[in-house]
Formats: sequence, C-alpha cells, structure tokens
Amino acid sequence: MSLLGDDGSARPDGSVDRPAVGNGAPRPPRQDGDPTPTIAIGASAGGLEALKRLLAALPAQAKLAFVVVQHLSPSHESLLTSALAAASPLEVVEVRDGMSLAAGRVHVIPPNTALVLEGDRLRLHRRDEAVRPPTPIDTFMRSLAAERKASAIGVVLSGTGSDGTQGLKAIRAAGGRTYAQEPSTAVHDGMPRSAIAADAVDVILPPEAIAADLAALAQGEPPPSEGEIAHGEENGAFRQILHLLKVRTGVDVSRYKPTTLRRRIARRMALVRAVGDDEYLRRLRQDPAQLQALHDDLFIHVTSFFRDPDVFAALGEHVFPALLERGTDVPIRLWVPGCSTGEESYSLAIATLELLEARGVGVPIQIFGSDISERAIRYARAAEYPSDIAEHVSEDRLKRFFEQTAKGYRIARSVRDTCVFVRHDLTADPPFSHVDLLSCRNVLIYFGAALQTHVVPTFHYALNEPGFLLLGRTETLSGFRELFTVIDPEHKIYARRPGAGLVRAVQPRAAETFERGLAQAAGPAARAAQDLPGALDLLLLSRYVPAAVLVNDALEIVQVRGKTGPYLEPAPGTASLSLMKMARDGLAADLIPLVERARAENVPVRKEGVRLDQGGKVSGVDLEVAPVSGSSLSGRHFVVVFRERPPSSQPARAPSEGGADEGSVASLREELAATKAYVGSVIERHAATNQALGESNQELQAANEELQSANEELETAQEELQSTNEELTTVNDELQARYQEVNELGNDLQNLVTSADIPIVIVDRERKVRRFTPGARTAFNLIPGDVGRAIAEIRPNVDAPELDRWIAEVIESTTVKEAEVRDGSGRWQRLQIRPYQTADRRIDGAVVSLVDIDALRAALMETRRARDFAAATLETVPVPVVVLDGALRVTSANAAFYQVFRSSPAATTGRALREVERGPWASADLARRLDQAMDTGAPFQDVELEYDLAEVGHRTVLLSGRAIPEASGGSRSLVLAIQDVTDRRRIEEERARARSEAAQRFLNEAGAAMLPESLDYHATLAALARLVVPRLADWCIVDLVEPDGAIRQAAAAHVDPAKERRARALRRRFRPEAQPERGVAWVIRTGKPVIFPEVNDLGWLAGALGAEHPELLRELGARSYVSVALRGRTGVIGAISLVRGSSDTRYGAEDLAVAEGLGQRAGLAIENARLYVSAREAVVARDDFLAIAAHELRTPLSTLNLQLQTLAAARGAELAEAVAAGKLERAIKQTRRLASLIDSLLEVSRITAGTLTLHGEESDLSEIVRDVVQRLGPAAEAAGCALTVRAEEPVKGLWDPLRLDQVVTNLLQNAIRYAPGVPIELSVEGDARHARLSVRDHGPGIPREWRARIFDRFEKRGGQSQEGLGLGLYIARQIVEAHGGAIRIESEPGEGTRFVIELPRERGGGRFA
Amino acid sequence: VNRRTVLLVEDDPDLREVIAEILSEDLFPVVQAAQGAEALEILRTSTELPGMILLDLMMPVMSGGQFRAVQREDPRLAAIPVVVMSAVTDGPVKAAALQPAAFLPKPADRDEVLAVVRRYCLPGGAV
Repeated sequence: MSLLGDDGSARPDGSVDRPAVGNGAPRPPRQDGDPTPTIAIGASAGGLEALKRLLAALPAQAKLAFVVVQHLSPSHESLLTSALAAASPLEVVEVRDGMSLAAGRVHVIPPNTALVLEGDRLRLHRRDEAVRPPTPIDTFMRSLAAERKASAIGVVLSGTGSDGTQGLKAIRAAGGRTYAQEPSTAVHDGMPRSAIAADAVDVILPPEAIAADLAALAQGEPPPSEGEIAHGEENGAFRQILHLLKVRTGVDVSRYKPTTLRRRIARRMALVRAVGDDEYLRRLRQDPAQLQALHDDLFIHVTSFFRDPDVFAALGEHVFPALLERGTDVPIRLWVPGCSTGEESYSLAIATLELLEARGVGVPIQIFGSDISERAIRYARAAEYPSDIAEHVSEDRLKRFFEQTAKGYRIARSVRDTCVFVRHDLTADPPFSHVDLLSCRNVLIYFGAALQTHVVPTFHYALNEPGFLLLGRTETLSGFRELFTVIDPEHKIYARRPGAGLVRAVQPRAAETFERGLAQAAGPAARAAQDLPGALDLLLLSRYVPAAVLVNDALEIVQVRGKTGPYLEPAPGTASLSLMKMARDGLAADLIPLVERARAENVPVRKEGVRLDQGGKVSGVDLEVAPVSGSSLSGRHFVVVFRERPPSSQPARAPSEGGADEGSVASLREELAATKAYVGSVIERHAATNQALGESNQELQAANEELQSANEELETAQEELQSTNEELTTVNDELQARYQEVNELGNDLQNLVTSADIPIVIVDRERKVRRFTPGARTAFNLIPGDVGRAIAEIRPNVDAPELDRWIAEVIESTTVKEAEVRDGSGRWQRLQIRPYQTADRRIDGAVVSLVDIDALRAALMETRRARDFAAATLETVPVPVVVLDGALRVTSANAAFYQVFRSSPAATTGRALREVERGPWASADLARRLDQAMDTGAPFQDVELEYDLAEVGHRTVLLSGRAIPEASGGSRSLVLAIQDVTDRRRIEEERARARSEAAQRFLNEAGAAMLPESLDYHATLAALARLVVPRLADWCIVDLVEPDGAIRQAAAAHVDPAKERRARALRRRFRPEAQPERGVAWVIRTGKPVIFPEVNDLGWLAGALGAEHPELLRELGARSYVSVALRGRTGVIGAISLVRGSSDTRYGAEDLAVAEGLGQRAGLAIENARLYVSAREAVVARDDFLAIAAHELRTPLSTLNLQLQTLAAARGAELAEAVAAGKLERAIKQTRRLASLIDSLLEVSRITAGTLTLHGEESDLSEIVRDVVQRLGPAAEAAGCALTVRAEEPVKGLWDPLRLDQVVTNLLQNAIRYAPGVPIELSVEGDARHARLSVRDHGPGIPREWRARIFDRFEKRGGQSQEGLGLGLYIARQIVEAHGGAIRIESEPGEGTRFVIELPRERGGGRFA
Repeated sequence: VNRRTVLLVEDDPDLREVIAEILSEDLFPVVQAAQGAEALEILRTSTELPGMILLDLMMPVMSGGQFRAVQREDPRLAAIPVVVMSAVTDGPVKAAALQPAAFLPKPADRDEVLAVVRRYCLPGGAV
C-alpha cells in the first residue's frame, strides 16, 4: 500500500465525483496575490466542437486563465484561435513565447510547438518531432502541475489516442483537479476514455457542465496551500475522520503521517466543496460512498513498471546470486507489500525471469503482492494496463511478457502465474514468511515512526536467511541496524541479519503467525542451530521460572513467562494487553505503585503477601517489579514476577470477624491511597511526555520539510536528466526513422529491379562493375565476385564486343547509347547505356541494361508477313476486290476486278468509284451503303446490283463492304468485294422451279391419295398424316373443329412408329383452346398459317399444339413448326400442324405453300367425306323409317287381312249377324288405324322436309285442352284412367290451334296408352309471357336412358311400342318448337311421367306462315 | 279331340284377338300374353306346357328375341316349338337367329297360321 506521491497517481476503480455546481455558501473573494487559477484544456480530433461548447458556456467575467492545447497540423497555419474567439466570450489569443497568463483570457497553442508553463509565463519550444505521437497536452499539463500544484486544473476533451492522460495524472498527483469530457458527448472519445481508464480524472462532464463547474470553482475558495496543510491543526474533526475511517473500513491510519493524511483530506474536501472539516465529517457520516472515496484517495497507488530501473540491475548483482546459491530446488519467494496495482510485482517477476533465463537456471519463483486496497488488488489480478506503460517497459519486454489487447497490454500468463495478490494490511495482518526478497518501496515514508518500528521487525521475521529487503530511494532503516545490514546503500538493498529479532507480542494476530512460524522453522538445519539457545531458554523459562511478564513503558505486556493465569486475565471489552487491565482484582492496586516505584527508582521493588481473591479462594502472592534495559529493547521495560505464597505462610488475620472488617477497610484505604498516588504520577508523566512529543514532532516536521525540499531538488535534477534522456531518445528515433527510410528505399530499389527482371549492370567511372541485378548474371556472365572487376574483363553473353568502348563514350559524352545486339541464344536484345548521375548531377559511371526485344522484332516481322500475305491473297483470289479511300476514290483493285469488269488500272485507280465505267458503280443504293459504312464503320453484306456489260451480257453481283478503321493519322478506307452471282441465281431459279414442280406433284399425289379413301374421313386424315410424314414433316397432327367449336385431335403420325402413339396422346388435360392466340387455335380461328422455322421455346410450342408437356415435345423432336388451316367450302374445319424435329431442315416459305395446298385439298377431302357420311346417315335413317313404317303398317294390315279372311272363310256358313258385325267393325278399325298411320308419316315427312307451317291466330290453350279431353274422354274411361283437368282460366296466345290440338292429343293419348288404369292430370296455366301445359300420369315412368331420345323420330316409350309409329312425341316437339316454345319431360321409374310444354304468348321466333 | 294349347305372344291387341279367334274357331285352346315376360310367367306357373308358342318379335317389356333366349336356356321349356311371326322387313333373317321351328311373316294368311298351329298342336301333326 502506498499513498499519493508526487509523481502521479492511479486510482484503479475509476470512481468519480460529480459535485453539484454552486452549492457552496458565499466564499471570500480570491486574494490578489494568488497566482491566476489556470486551466489546461487538451483536445485533439473533434476537439474544436468540444472547445467551442466549453468556452461558449463560460461567463465572460470568469477570473480564470485557460490554456488550450490542441493537436494541430505542424505544417498549416492554425485557424483555431479565430474559431475559438468567435465562440468564446473571453479574449482568445495565440500564445507567444514568454507571454504571461492572464485571467479571463484563453491562450491557444500555436502549431508545431511545445508549450510549457514556467512560473507565470508560457514558454514555447520547438516541438520535438521525434516523439510519436506528439504529446503536447501531457507536456503542458505536467508543467502546470509542477508549477501550480494543487491549484492546477486539467481538462481533456474529445480526441483520439491517449495524450493528456499522463498530464491529468500529474495534475491529480499534485493535488489538482482534473476533468474529462463525458465520452458519450465526445466526437472522438479516445482521449477522455484513456484518461478515465487510467483513473486520472476527478470529474466527468459534458463540456458545458465542465465550464459551469469551472466557473463555480473560480468563485470558490482556493485549495489549501502546502503550508496550510503542513501546519494544519489536528483538530477534533480531523481525528474523528480518522476514527470514522477505522470504524467503517477497518483501516487504522492514525499512525500514518498526518501531513499526508491532511493533504488528502483537503483534496477530497475541495472536490466535494466541503467548507471546513466539520462539514466534511458530517458528509462522511451521511454518505458511505464519500467515505469509500476518501479511503480510496488515501491509498492512491503510485507505481509504475520498472520504477528506478537501475534498482533491478542492482538486485541482479547483489541479491539473486546469493539466493541462487541455496540451490535451485527451492522456489524463490518474493513479497511486495503495498504492491498497489501490481506493477512492482510484475516488474520483479519479469526481472527475475529474465535473470534466471540469462543464467540458465530453472528455479520456480513465487511472488506475493499484497495491498490494503481491495480495488488495487483486483486491478493487479486483472493484469491489464493502458498502452502508456510502453513508456516504462522496453519493447522487448512488451513483446515477451505482455500481450497486446484492445486497450493496452496484458501481462502474459507465464508471468501472471508467478504472482499472487492478496489484500493485506501490513500494519495489522500477519506477515508472509520464508520470503527471500521483500520489496517495499515508498511505503514506509507514509508511516509514522511508531508504525515503522512495528513494521520493520515484521519484515525481519518474514525473511529467510539469507533474505533481502528492498526499500524506496528515500527510505532508510537507520533505526534497525540490529535487524538489517546495508548491502547497497544507493539502491537501498538490505540483508537480513541472522537472529530471532524482536518478538512481536504487541500484535496478537501476528503473534499467532509467529508461533506457527516457529513450529515450521524446525525444518532447515541451519536455522535450528541458530535457535538452539533460544529453545533452551524457552524450556527453562517454561518449567522453572515463576510466572512473569515483561511490560513496556506503557505497561503493555510484551512477553509472558510461566503460568500467569492466576494473576492475569483478559479484560472484557476491546482486547488489550495492558497489564493494568489484565491484572486480576486486587492485584492492579498493588501492581501500579510497584511499577511506578520501580520506574522512578530504577531498581527492582517488591511487595509480599498481596491478597488475591480467586472465586472465593483467597491466596497470597508476592509481587516483584524490576526495570529491564537492553540494546535490543527500545524504551524502558519492566519485568513483573508473580510468586505464589505457600498457604501456611498466610497471615493470621483472617479468623477475627471484626478484625477482618477493619482489616478490609484499612486494606481498601491503602489501595485507594496507592491508586491516588499512581494517578497523580501518571498525569504528571503524561504531561511531560506530551510536551516531549510535541517538541520532537516539531523537530520532525522541520526535518520533513527539509527533506521535502531536498527531494524536490532531486526531482528537478531528475527531470533535467530525463529531458536530456528524452532528447537523446528523440535523436535516436530520428536516426532510426532515417535508417528506416534508407532501408525502405533500398528495399524498393531491390524489388523494383528484381520484379522488372531486366539485366542491369552499374559500372563506376573506371568502368568497373559496381552492382548488377540477378538478371544480369546470365546476360553478362557475371558472378557476385565480379564486383570491382573492369567491364572489359567480362565476356558478356551478348554480341557486344565494343561494350567497354561504348561505356567509355557514354561516360565521356553523358549521352545515351543504344544498340540492338543478339544474345547467346540468338534472341535480339536492346543494349542501353546511360550515364549514372548522382543526386548532385555528377556522372559517376554508367548503367548498362538489356531489354529483350526479340518478341517485338518477331511481331514486326510477323506484321510484314501478314501484310504481304494479305496483298498476295488479294491478288490471288478470283473475287474482284476494290479498295476505296475516305472520299470513296479507288485506291487499288485486284486482278480479278480488272478481269471481271474488263477494265484496267488506268481506268480505275484514282477515280471516284461512281465515276468508274463498266460496272454497277453508279447505283444510288450502293452509294448510300458506302456512305453509311464509311460513317459508322458498320459493314454491309450482299447488296445486290445488276449491270450489263457488252462483252458478257447481263450480270447480277453481290457487293460486300467493310470499313477499315483509320490508322493513326490516316483516314478510314473501305474494302469492297464483288461476287458475281449471275450463274448461281440461274441455278437457284431452276432449283426453285424444280422444287415448286415437286411440290405440285406432291400435292397432286396427296389429292390422289386422299381420294380413294375419301368416303371415310378418318381414313382420309390418317392417309393425309401418312403422306406428310416423312416427306413434309417428322411428325404431324391433324385437328378438326367439332360442331360445338371444340378442337379435337383427329389424326397423328410420326416418322418413328414407336413415337406415333405419343404423338396421338399429345393432349390429355390441355387443349389448344387454352392458347387462343397461338398455334392450332389461332390458325383455326383466323384461318391464317403459322410458321416458326426455328422453335426455341418448347413451352411456346406446347401451348401452340395444346400439348401437355414441353418435355413430350422434346421426346417427339421439335425444331421447326408450321401449322395451316384445313379449309372446306364453308370455312376452316381444322388445322394440320407439321413439325420437324431431328433433321436439319427448317420450314420455309415453300414448305408453307405446300402445306397450305395440302390443307386446302385435305379440307375439301374431309368435307366431302363428311358430306358423304351425313348423306349415308340420311339414307340409313330413311331406310329405318321405311322399315318401321312398313312394320307398323303391316301389323294393322295383318289384323285386317286375318279378319277379312275369317269373314271369307265363314262365307258359306251361317254367321250370326252380331258376330259378323263385330268382325267387320274390327276390320274397319284397322283401316282407320292405317289411315292415321299414313297421316302421321306424311306429317313427319313434312317436318323433315321443313314444310311445316303454322297458322297463328288468337287461341285459348285451356279451350284446346278442354276440347281434347272431351274427345278422348271415352278412351280414357275405357283404359280406366280418371282425368283431372285444371284448365278453367283462359290462357290465350297467338298460336296455331289445330297444331296445338294435335300436340295435346298426342300427349294425352300417350299417357292413356302407357299408363292405363291410373289417374291422369292435365293443367294449364300462364303468366305474362308464357303459357304452360302439364300432362301427368302415374304410370311406370321412363328410365333415364330413354328420356333423352324420347322426342326423336321412331323412338317410343319403353323402346318398343304397342301401337303406332313412335312419331307422336317427335311431332309434338316439332310443333312446340315451331311455336318458339319448348317441351320437356320429368320422370322417374315408378313415379309416373310429366310432360310440360311451354309456349310464348307473343309471336316470337315461331315459324308462322 | 286332343288338340294342344297354343301360347300366343303378341303385343298388338287387335292382332292378338283376331289370331286367338281364328285358333279358337279351329278349336285350339289359346293362352294369350301381351309380351315375353308375361308369356314366361304363364309358362312357369302352368303345369301343362303348350304345344307350341306363337311369338311376335317387337314387343315392349320383353321382346320376342329376349323371350326366346330365356326359353331356350330353360330345359323344361326348351323343347316347346316356337313359331316366330314378324312384320319386320328383314323378319326371316332376324327370326333365323332365334332358330325357330317356323317363321310366319306378317301380314299372315289365316290358312298359314292354322297350318303352322296344326302342325304342332294336333296329335301326330308334329314333324
């Protein structure tokens, strides 16, 4: 544990106070003599905004001096001053060297300078450019802290990096106040965060709040000066603060140096704006956090890595050799009490590890770090440190023993594993033991003398033999020469003296540890030997010596011998070793005067027969007190010996009762007197002691001040040294940077040369090889040893015998020399010799390089060849070619041109093309094409022209032209090739004619093929499909339009019989109608053909053909497609679709023509076939009709015949009149039947012939029904059918009454005939537009399958009639429909039948005459 | 006089009546049926089978053809001679398919009817 030092502070918990602004009572105004309160504001990236915010928020009358240190570009003029002046109510100036600080003014650092405060003046220095990154903020804040101590104020605003962190630390360490911008409000929070993380910040606020806080501060009380602190009274409140601390945190600081405590408390008070100790005390009592903050502040931890690096060297020199002598199997144990945040521990660990490694010994090490602050211990355990530790830790060590983290560095695990950290109060807790080295630097300085006296023996105890103690620079062990000897006075290294040292009975907890330590100490033999006399003494003392205690001057028991239990006992309350408190009842009164006497007379004194009452048992004891003094004892000590008196020698005053009372009173009086005397002497002695203490305290204070000033001087010296060191470091860094640059340059050159792979040889003025590239080795036959040899001695691998002379010329003339040479393998190289020019333009040799130009030369040759080839080709080809220039003048023409056009160069070259005779050159089309090609560069192809030439006649040519892009500087030219296609055209025409004839033949053939089968149109279609495949298609399908408009596949054929079935089954779910705009459906709808020479999208084709899957088409093969309509006389009756799949031929116009011809013929064939079919059907129907008519006629004819024959047979016999009459009647009936049948047949015949006409007149359907019922009533009655008629209301309309009568008669007759014996109901009803007649019977009903056809000709109920032609319903339907009405049937088997006719009441659509 | 019964199956009531009259005058017992199903019913319910069946072809409910098919399948009835009479134009062809004992075209003569009946319903008349 350590307290605040003057070199900085670190508080690991990052706790921050946020005091309310302006809460203080009115303060006395600042005195004029005080230095102006100065606030250093550091900012970097993003700082301008924060600065403006802060300065703008300040009151104009603020009596504060601000110094703004901003990272500025070194090379640009700063606009910061003007920018801030605009924002701030205060005066803003740029700092000039030597300028005084002024209150109410903002001083801005100029660019490229380092600013420091010296006294009251600002000094500018050249910025140390070697320091990277520059830390002007740290620099200024450090100077501010040094100058202003506790009145220094530092503010860190937005910025990247960590500049300012160290500066704030310095200010805080000096007792000043530090601010950081709230990171969340900063544009760049790197600097504030760094400072906060380093625990260098008191207050974290946004810029405006910082301004407000500063303003409040300016009006407040100044912090106490050093003098005030040093001479501050230790008033009651101060002691109570310490007491509060002890009670609440368990830390007793009462024996710490009060000055330090006072300073820390004053700082805290300033921070929380507490006026006076009392107020602060009150706050501490109310707010535990305040108390904790004070606690943390008291134990601010000041430490760094490798503090005083030479100390570590000294340790390696003096300490470790001795430790290693003990052998390497015992671990080396180090203890760092007051280890703070662990830097010292880790430094020691690293130093030790390095040392052990250097010596090559593998001794395990254990390092214990202990500190009173739990926070510090946690920080130490975390082992993570900010990046600025690099200031103290060498790069090597950082690499080896640290790990880089996001925030800084972390101690490597190997080092961490050696260190253990525990919370431990050096002044109160038992020490570690068996420690080899104890490093306790800058801890004791904070302890008062008494505490030091206590702690140093603890160190002695903790250490092994040999064991070493390391103290801080300013600490000494002058008072403990018997315990430690000095080994290195400069570095404060001490060795433990052998011996038991002082027994630390003062500390009960420590005593236990000590006893344990003794028991363990039995191990090493050397140690046992040393302790042998002591052990003997202990034995003797415990067995033979009477109970005795050694007490110090304050009568505290230091040592105990023998059994003191009967005389001493622990007193209730706080544990105490005070003899007075521990003495049993009755003894104290006797002991105190005895001790006083012994102290006063300095001789052993004795009192015998002291009465001791132990739980009723009264015994006597002899007391003896002897003063003891020895070199090892500090202060006076006394031995108090208790001797028990034998019971026999008990005085004989017990028996008498009255005597006993009197004796008691006397004895008590005696005791009282003794006590009075003792108290008096104690008071007297205390007064004396106090006086002595006061004096010595003053002396010590004076000494302390002297030491402090000496220390400051030393620090100044150290700073000087440090700055010198920094300068040196800077120079070194600069040199290093230069070296780095040179190195980089070298690397660049090396890489440049290597990557260029160009052989380069550099020779000096004497033409000796100075340097060459790897490529030059083979090219110049160089080996590394050739450096320094004259180039003339080298036999280069290129054919350059004059090389040496050339180089000489180049050096002489400083001109460049180039030559093309061949190397050993015959490749062409360009040798280039250039003068070697130094930076100061001196010629210092030459640079010889070789560039491989073989490929270049080869390319050149290649180009020439290509040109010649092109020219030769042009001349050789039989195609006339003419080259035109930009103005379309003929540049050249080839031999074929002159030959074809019977022309000559003289008549051609140089002329404008259109003026060239003999040829189609005057064509306007050609001129247009040529212009276009010349303008756009787009070629044209096969422009057909015709011309007549006297010698050769009419010719047709195709012209193709292509512009040649202009060469550099030249204009565009154009090549025109002429192809005579006269002969080809003739052949093509002939071929076309042949094809057309073939197509015609094919069509004729097709017509013929379809003819024989034309009576069956399905056969016709099959024949058509067969005919088409494979001659016109790989596969085809034929579709026909059904009467209802549906498109149905009627035939299909495929060149591969195996696939034909699939072609037939092309459609399962889909129909061409689904795609009315493409393919079959479109063809059928529009009658126009569809042709797709190249089908790319099978999906499209699938839709066009109504096929289910494109996949199916792939199987069938589909590349080219044409579909044409099948045309009949009346229009499109279908379509034939042709598809080529596998072959390479595509459908063209000719194929389309053939297909259309085919469609025409096939359509007619199909129509013919259909007509034939319907004609034949008509014939069949007529035959059927005749057969049925014959049958129907024959039945009554049979009856008539048989009847008449019966009559005839009975001619000779007597025949009863009645019998004969009956037979005749029946015969006549048959003739009636015959006549009726013939009427019906005629009717049907009329209907079929379409000659049925209606004679419409106003008629009443009800009346008609009633008439029919009346007429057929008897027949119904005869058949047992009860008629029910509902036809009362007249239902009138414009109908043919005779025809309707016929209909009703038919229906009623039908019902009577098929449902005899059951009732029949007739009803008539009508609404505004329709009249309705219903005839219902209750007969067997009509099965569904018959119902559909029941109104057809020759169909009868039940399939076969009992009577009649089955024409009745047919005729009824024809009549109803002729009226524009409808007839329907409702029937279920077993449920009867109902016929319903519906007639429009107006004449609409009827076939009236 | 030992004349056997004739089963007359004819749907036209006038014709059926006149044939029955002719046969009755010649003293043949006649049982009438209006169609095949009715005839089968009569055959299956009567203990004495008719000497022959005079069968029309075109009848409702059960045609002559259907009747003949059932009758030929029935071992009890199969042996009864069936004479088909029909007014159908191609009657002989259609009748031949039924393998009748004889065929009578319509319009028939009284003597033809009687001759056929006598052949099968007079003792010794059977061929």
